Amino acid sequence: MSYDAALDLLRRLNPQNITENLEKIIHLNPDLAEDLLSTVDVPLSIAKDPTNGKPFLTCDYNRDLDSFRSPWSNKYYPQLDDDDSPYPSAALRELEVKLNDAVDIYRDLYYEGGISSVYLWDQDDSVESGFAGVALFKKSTEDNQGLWDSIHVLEVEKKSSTKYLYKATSTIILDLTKVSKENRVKLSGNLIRQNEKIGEVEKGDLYGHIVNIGSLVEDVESKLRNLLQQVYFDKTSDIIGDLRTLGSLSQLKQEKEQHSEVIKGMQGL
Amino acid sequence: MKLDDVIDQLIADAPVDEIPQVLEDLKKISSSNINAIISDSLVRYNLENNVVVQSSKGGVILSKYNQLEGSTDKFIDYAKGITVTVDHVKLKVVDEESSDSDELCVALESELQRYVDDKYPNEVDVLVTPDVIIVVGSKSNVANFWSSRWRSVYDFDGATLRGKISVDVHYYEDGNVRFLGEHSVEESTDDPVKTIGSAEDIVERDLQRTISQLNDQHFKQLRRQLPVTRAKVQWGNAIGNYRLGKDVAK
Repeated sequence: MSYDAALDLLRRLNPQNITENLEKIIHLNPDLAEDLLSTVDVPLSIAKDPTNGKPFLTCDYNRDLDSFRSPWSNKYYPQLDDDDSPYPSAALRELEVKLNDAVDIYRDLYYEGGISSVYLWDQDDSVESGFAGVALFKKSTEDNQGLWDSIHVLEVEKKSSTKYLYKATSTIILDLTKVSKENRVKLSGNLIRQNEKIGEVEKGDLYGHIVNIGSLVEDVESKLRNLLQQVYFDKTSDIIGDLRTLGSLSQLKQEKEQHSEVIKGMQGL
Repeated sequence: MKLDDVIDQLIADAPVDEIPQVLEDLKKISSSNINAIISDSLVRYNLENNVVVQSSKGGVILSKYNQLEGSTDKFIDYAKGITVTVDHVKLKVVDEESSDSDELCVALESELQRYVDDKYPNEVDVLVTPDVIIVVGSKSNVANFWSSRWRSVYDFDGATLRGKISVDVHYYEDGNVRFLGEHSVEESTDDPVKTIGSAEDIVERDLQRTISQLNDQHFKQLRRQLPVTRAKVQWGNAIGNYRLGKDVAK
């Protein structure tokens, strides 16, 4: 009950402060920490892989204690003393490497910059029967006044000998700011949507999963981008126009009355 | 973190029309009894946000400018000629008595009322005190998951009108999107209501223009609608060719 109340609260408070507000809610009720930290999406952080200097994205899914696994070297940074941290199985790691490579190309084509990372983890005994993962993207405008984070949590489940069900729970966090001498505008928040599709994969064909996961992420991001456009700009603009009109209400009313008079007159002819 | 500060800051972050739900959530989340902290926080919140309570003579705006000295819950409306006692948590008038009205405030309010009736199609309230002029317009649609509020606070010294306009739009269906716009106004005038009207038109146009700039400039720089190649990505074995192509182009 208090978990649902916490989610409702986070949906109502200023989304720009989501990270701080999450901390405050956990302070009110520490028992909620684990559930909230694993389900509430916050803007992604960036770490650097010291082996090749390449940046990667960090979230709860590649975290162990205070370290994060790099998708490039498969190592945790900062390095951990004991080595009982979770790693994907060898077969899944092979897919993870190829998927990171493909998603990196996708990122370049759509984002022309930014950072992407994909993490996979085993669900059952074999990769053959299914697995789970997350695909992450982060991009900011040059002046840092526009910030984009997308988080796609993926579940892959075998349905028949060649068919798999792909489920994606996707969150896009979009944060826009414009400040001038006289005015300050912040338009920020997130939208969450779930999508799924069935895809074919021949036995042992890793690229089959890449095609299916890649095109699902591509479709979902395109759909969500349209939705963001509608909600952030069109909807906000309409609501403001309805709070206060630029025209005069009495004039509008007068025009309407005149209009119906004209119609009445014409009907009487 | 002190519990009082945590509650105070969480409440301060909520849209005015959603306060009842926010309080319900906070009570469900918190492991201790927070009723006393909530009522302290709401006194500050209601004043800072110029929350409106309903009296027999219409909406009364709460502010530090019309709060009776030495009291946290008594507010005077100089134009309506009443003093109300308010329950800050339930947001209700619990007692109402008539008080002297101020002639100048009455005159200015009736002029202001004509203006807001002509420009604010939904709920709108005004407050005129010897120090300030406040306009609050709002509209919420719970079934469609949004709430919105326009608030202007001006002071007028007889020669200059200075003010701050804050617009808050919240949309929360399968997500949480918040627009917060602030605009300052300063103009020399001897006709405050007329100047408020023209200044607010300018601000509204400016906010609308800013929204389309955020769309055209910021949003479009983040993720393209279609890739540079203008066709969907060819996933699969040959995806590496994109990189080859790019290397060749270099």
